Amino acid sequence: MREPAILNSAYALAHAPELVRYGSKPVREIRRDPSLLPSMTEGLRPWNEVIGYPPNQVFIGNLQPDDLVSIPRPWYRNRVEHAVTSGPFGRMITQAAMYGLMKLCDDFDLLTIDEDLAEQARLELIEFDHRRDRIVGAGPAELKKLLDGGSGLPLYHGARVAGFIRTAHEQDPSLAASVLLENLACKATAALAVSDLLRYSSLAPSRVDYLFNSGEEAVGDRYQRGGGSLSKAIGEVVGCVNATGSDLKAFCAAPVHALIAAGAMVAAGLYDHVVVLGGGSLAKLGMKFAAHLRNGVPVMEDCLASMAFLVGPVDGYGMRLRLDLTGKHPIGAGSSPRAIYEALVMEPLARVGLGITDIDRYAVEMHNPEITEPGGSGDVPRTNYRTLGAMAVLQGEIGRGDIDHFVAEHGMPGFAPTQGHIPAGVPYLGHAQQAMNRQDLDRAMIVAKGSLFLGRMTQLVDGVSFIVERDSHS
Amino acid sequence: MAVTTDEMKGFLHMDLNGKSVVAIGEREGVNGPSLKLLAESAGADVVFSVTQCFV
Repeated sequence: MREPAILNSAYALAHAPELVRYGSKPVREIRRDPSLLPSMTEGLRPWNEVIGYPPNQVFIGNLQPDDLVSIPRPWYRNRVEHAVTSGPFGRMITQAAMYGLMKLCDDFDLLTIDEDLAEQARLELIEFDHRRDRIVGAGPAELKKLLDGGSGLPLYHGARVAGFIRTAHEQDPSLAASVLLENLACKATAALAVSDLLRYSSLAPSRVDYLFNSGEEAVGDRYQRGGGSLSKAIGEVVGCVNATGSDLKAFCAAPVHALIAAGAMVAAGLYDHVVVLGGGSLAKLGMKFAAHLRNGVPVMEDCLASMAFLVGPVDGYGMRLRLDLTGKHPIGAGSSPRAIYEALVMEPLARVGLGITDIDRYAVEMHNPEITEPGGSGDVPRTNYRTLGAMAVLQGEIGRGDIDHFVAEHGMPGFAPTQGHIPAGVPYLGHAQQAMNRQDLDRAMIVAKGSLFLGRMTQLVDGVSFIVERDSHS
Repeated sequence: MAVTTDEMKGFLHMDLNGKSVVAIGEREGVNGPSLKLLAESAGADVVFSVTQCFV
């Protein structure tokens, strides 16, 4: 059996302040009280504040997670000076570039943008040369005609209406403009991450064999809601002409399921290069905006996040993906935090005689606490790390008074946007590979959970985990 | 919401027997079905129970 590895990671943040109004929570709240729209808009951050926001700089790799410990809160006020939009394994793009990406991903003329926006987007998307000619703007008369009579949603940029997305089928809720906007935003942001991943890896798109999409979108029609496969649609944009793909669904745990499945495909010798990807969740933009406004903090859920990972045979430079040490939350296990961590962490470790403290770093639900705390959800990663620390106490590995030290040593501050599948352990993979290359890390565990109960088909939660280890040359 | 120790003692001594209860659990804490079982074991009538995910 070949040993699989995670060879590279790529992350992207697309600033999308004018799409926040179309997030699920803002849509519902603004419908109830239209006066919320101007106050929400006023609470959104300008581009330069998004670039300099410390957690965003961690997300793209210019800062390490531990750097956040020494940056005083609130981070939105203590921004990074002279911050840049590109990092070692990620980047941020403007809203104009994001609209342009959506346009070049649009195979059905769903999206119309004006000429100024198209021009700006073309300038910012040089590396998409093979599709850039699709970013064509509409004249004022054409746009006005759509806005006056078309069935769909207006799209905003700055102080103006700069575009329109149309409904594709009047009687099909799965093809309503709001759903197509979600799906197209997800496709576009994921395509950016995959394109960057292949560039970072110096891998020709034609060498990708298979794509696993693990995003939160539901692409389909009235007869098959959520039918998929966005993976193949994204591969087409990027030029993966020899690949096929599928979508793997497990709420926020999907990326970790997909990475394990990708590793198994490589180990079995089925494929050499498998890409696991996930695009941004438009539905979750502005999810906690009301709490942010109430507490006088900026509306920080203003970016669509995306990610992509390359899985292949070990090459000496990636991270070994230990398929023999994966964890799963079985149907018969309980749903308490302790039961979940016993299944996901202790069971796989016990199989090979390792203890909780034998893992150098755990990456759990890496939600940025500055986003979650104003709404009363607390510091989610810290809560998870404390649960793990308490279990290490029960195991007799550390003393009762050592939990804070355990959290500091084996955990890290949350830094990921609250985009569901994005924070689920995997934002650490880029950092883990860098730390292994610096010889600062030998072994990390990625732990993800999924709230299956939200779909009302089961009361169960889900969870999966895997361990990555330093490869010989890293 | 922060809960003081005294308030917690109040919760711990709450008599649920014969009361109607709405049980809202959370994935990162105690889930809805567990709260429901707990309240029912104390004699409550759980009229609604759900698990929320706040992230």
